[in-house]
Amino acid sequence: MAEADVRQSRRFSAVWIVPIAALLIGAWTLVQNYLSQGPQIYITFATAEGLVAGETQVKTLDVQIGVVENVELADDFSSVTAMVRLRPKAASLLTDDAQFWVVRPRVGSQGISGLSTILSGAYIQLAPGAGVAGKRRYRGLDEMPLTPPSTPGLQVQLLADNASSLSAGSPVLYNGYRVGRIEESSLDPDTGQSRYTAFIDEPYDGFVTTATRFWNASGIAMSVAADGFSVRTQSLETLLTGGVTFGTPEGARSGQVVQDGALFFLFNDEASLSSNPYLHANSFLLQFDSSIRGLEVGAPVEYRGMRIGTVMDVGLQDVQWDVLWKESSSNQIPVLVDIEPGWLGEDSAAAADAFTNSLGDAVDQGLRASLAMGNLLTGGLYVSLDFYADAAPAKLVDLDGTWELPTIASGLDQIEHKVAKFLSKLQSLPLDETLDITNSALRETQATVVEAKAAMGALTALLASPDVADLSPELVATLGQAQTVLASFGPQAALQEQMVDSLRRLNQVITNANEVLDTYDEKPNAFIFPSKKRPDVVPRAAPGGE
Amino acid sequence: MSSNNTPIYSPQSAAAQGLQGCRRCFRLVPLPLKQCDFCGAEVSLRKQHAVQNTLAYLFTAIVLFVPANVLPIMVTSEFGSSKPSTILEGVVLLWHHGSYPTALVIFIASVLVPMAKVMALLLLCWSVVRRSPHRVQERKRLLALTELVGRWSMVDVFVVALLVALVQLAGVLTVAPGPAALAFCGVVLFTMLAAHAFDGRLLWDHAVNLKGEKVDHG
Repeated sequence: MAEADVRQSRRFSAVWIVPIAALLIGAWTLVQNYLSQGPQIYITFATAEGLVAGETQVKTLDVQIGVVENVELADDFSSVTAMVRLRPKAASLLTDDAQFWVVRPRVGSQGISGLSTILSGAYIQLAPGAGVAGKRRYRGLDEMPLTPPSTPGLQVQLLADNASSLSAGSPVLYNGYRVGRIEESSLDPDTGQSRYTAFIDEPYDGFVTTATRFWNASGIAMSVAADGFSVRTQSLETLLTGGVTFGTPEGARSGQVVQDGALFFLFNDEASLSSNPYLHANSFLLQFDSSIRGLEVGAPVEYRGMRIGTVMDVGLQDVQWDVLWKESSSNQIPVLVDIEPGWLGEDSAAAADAFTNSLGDAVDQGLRASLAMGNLLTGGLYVSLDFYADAAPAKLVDLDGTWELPTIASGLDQIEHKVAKFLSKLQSLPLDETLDITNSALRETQATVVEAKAAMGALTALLASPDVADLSPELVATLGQAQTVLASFGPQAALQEQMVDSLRRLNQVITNANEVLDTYDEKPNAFIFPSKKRPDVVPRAAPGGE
Repeated sequence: MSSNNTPIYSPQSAAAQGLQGCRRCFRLVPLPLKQCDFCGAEVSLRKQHAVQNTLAYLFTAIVLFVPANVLPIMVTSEFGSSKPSTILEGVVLLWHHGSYPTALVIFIASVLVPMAKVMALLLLCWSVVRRSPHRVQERKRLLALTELVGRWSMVDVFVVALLVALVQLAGVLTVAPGPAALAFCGVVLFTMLAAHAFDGRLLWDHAVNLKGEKVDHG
């Protein structure tokens, strides 16, 4: 029995433990390897430059967290897909906003980066985000993002009419301090506008509100004026690479906090801020009966002195005439204005539409546009909105997106009209005739005086005659009195002196009237707007006075 | 007793004469004994479980052959970028670089020889299990060749060991052994063990009967 037992146990050699152990170890290693394997992700890149299967590492903060296992062309052959095996611990880094890009040597205005990759070869950088982990397919970035996805701050969109010297990496300044950067710049193929993405770091993102305006701080601003020649530049960096400055225009209301991705207009320079600082506006068409001379593009539109808009076009070359002349008489001059609700608060498309609606009600109650004198020296005009109780009833008319706002003749027009009338009356006065008459009257008076002199001479002779001597002393006395009376008519007499004086004054009045007439001939509105005052005449005594 | 000391030529095998050899002291021991009466070692007519043991070692070698070729045998770090390479990758690389003799040597020593050895031993085991009486001489030669050539497979392991020891220019170029080096060592070791476990006498056991006469199974 014992022998049989031994034979039974010896049927299989003990050596079989060796391959079984080898298999077990192998299997255990495989399982261990499989269990310790991290997630597999697919990253799509535009090009596989520098990517080597099995070699290219994936790093975050310069720590290797995975390796590229495979690089293949995408199905449509337009890109490459890198299959990356990450370490198990890196799984939590795969947030839905994580970003991948290939680090290669790069020389740019921001400095030199990625030098270490010259020797070691390119590697893929992972910038983990703050989102939910679990994503497995990513689109790799072409270039290193200037701002990692989890950076606290604010991202805004900037829209510029003309391309400027801004590029990715250009600084965003606030009061001369660098508070952010341009992340991306692109040209909109439809509108031709430049579109920039700017990032403002925390805590400076609080400076950006709906009232904030962005302008280009690139390059050099030069101006030549009467007081000299001035050059303004920002920092040397902006001089070289361009830059954007933002701020809140003086007098603007404090705006609300903006959301990530808010859209702003990028102005050419600080000076152009005031001319057109708001993005959202609705266009209104004004038809004026009177001359618009003095109304410039960019002139303000005001409601009782408060600015609410800007004159955008005078004369409207670009608008279809058949639209313009619809429901209007042809002698009216069209003026296009933009009413910008941003002047009153919120700068948004919704606010612009709401403002247009409220304007419709206001027009029903008598709101009219008129031209008003903005600058007396230059004769510059602006558009004034105000309520006119006696205005003819009118409506806000929709002309295919542009609204026609009813107008009224301005007070200035009326005054001008009256002045012109008055002046024409003044001109029709027969002043020359009056002068002639007066002159002849004076001549006659002189003749009378001469005659009176002769009469007095005759009288003196008469008195000296013996006939007169015979007259009673009473008569002599009477004659003496009469002589005194006559003497008062002589050249030395006070009466004649007064008369001559009166005549002189009349002459002066006529001269003045002539002068006034000349002035009104030259400048009809001088009645209301007098010319510069002449220095007052200082009265002084005549030399050797009486 | 004197007849015992006199060498007697007999066409019969020792087994046919009731003798077995002690594998430690090479003394001829009578068959019924389980222990050598001289040195005390266990004796048996044939190696115990020779075919089974051979197959077991061969199987281990086959198992190890997989990681030896799949895993990198050598990790070369050049300027910070480490590049692991398997045996076959190394061969292909050498071939592309024009080092045909080296490539051939490594290919033959590392791939061809171990595989040939495993195949040869499998073939021999199979012939024993099948009790094949044919081509005894060829099979004996094959066994001898297997035992002779087996040790040269270690060339590859030595190459790696030498490179690891010599090429250590820190930061610029370093060589480190990969996991396949160990597995490959195992392959060579276990094929050698398999060849050792095989009992060559089994090859002709079925061709010659215990009386030394050729048997014709056909």
